Amino acid sequence: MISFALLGHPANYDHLDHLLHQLRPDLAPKKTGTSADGVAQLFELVPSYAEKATLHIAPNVNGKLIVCTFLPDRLTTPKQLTTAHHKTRDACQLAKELGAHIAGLGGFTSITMAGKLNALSAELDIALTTGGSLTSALALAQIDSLLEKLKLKIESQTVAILGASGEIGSACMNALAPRAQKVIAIARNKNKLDSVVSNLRNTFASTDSNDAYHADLIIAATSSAQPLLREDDLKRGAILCDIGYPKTIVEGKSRRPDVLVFGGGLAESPLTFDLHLDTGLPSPRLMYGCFSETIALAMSNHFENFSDGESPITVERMEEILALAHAHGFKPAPLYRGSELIAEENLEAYCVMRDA
Amino acid sequence: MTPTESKLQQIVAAKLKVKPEQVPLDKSFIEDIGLDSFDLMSIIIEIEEVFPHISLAADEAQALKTLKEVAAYIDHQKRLPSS
Repeated sequence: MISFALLGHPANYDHLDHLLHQLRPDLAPKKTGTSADGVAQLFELVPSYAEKATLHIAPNVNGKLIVCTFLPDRLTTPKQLTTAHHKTRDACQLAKELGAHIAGLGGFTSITMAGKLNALSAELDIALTTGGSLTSALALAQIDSLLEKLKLKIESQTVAILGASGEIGSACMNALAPRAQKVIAIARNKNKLDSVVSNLRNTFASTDSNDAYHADLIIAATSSAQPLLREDDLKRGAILCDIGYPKTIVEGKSRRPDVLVFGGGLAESPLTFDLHLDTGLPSPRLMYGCFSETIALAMSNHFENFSDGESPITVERMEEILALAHAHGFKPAPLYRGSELIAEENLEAYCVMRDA
Repeated sequence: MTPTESKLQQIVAAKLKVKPEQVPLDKSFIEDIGLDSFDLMSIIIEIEEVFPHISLAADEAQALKTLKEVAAYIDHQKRLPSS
């Protein structure tokens, strides 16, 4: 029996291809000559399934990764969107059947339950969380400690939030707007965005993701299946915290020394998370914030829809989950650009280049 | 305009926070009318709730792009004898 489940999906086709090479080299596309589209279609025919590996966190705290077999960038028709919704539902049902008391909906799976997470939780009698509270809290803590190291104050920063009307984006925006010099709130749905920003000081709404390039600090918290920003196009000195899964930024071929791009919303823990597959994380001690929230709640026997994707995430809720996660050894992760650690010398080089 | 088209316009208008008549019926509602992915999913879920006799997960629904096409699909499924 497991006590928690983590719901995920491959970030994109390349990730799926890599997973196939790792898990089933006999089925890998290059061996079988199947096209990318064909492989993706075959993958979509598979129902949501639980990985064999079990994460043993503590006595009676065990969990599994449940794979929802869709790729976000292929959700472009009503049929595919509906199918993805049903796959996430099925994955929650499977979590329940495996004995889980709580399931964390990672990446795009939380979007596929849009506004229905509490209803599904009641129907299946299992706690469900998007993990958005801890993800937001971790990203903000990572930003705080980075700014402190760089001797920068948020009060002097123009901050852009991509995905500002979303759960994580609005949590970050509400936390930063009272302090930042200016906030550019970016999302697709203008009217929804206007209602979110109307009560915030120095906050301006935009539907153009290119407006993010004007900011000193960019927080990317979109559920966009396609990258929206390019590292090559960032202005000198820009800092980008990319919380998106799949990633919102296209990294350049090599690291630009005059900008800082890092994966945000990640936790580091004394535990090692070995799922025997490529999770897209740079170290087995790191974990996505959404899954860290799920694991920390399971470790506390606190089976609640902590982040339900509907209620706004307040600063108090972020503090509560950060403290609970901290009690179980989770802390904001060091900064990585992809799989490379951003070391002290990179920060020093950044300061020199930024001021040159 | 058919009653089904009108109902779909209302569902989408509530998400876009605009008047129903401002929702275009003949543009791709997935790409071209300013819905974010959360809105889009909640619309899909609501369509399934409001029209329980249809399944947007069916193969025939694969090519639907505009609300007009979705409405025609819903009305076509309604007319089929239930099996």
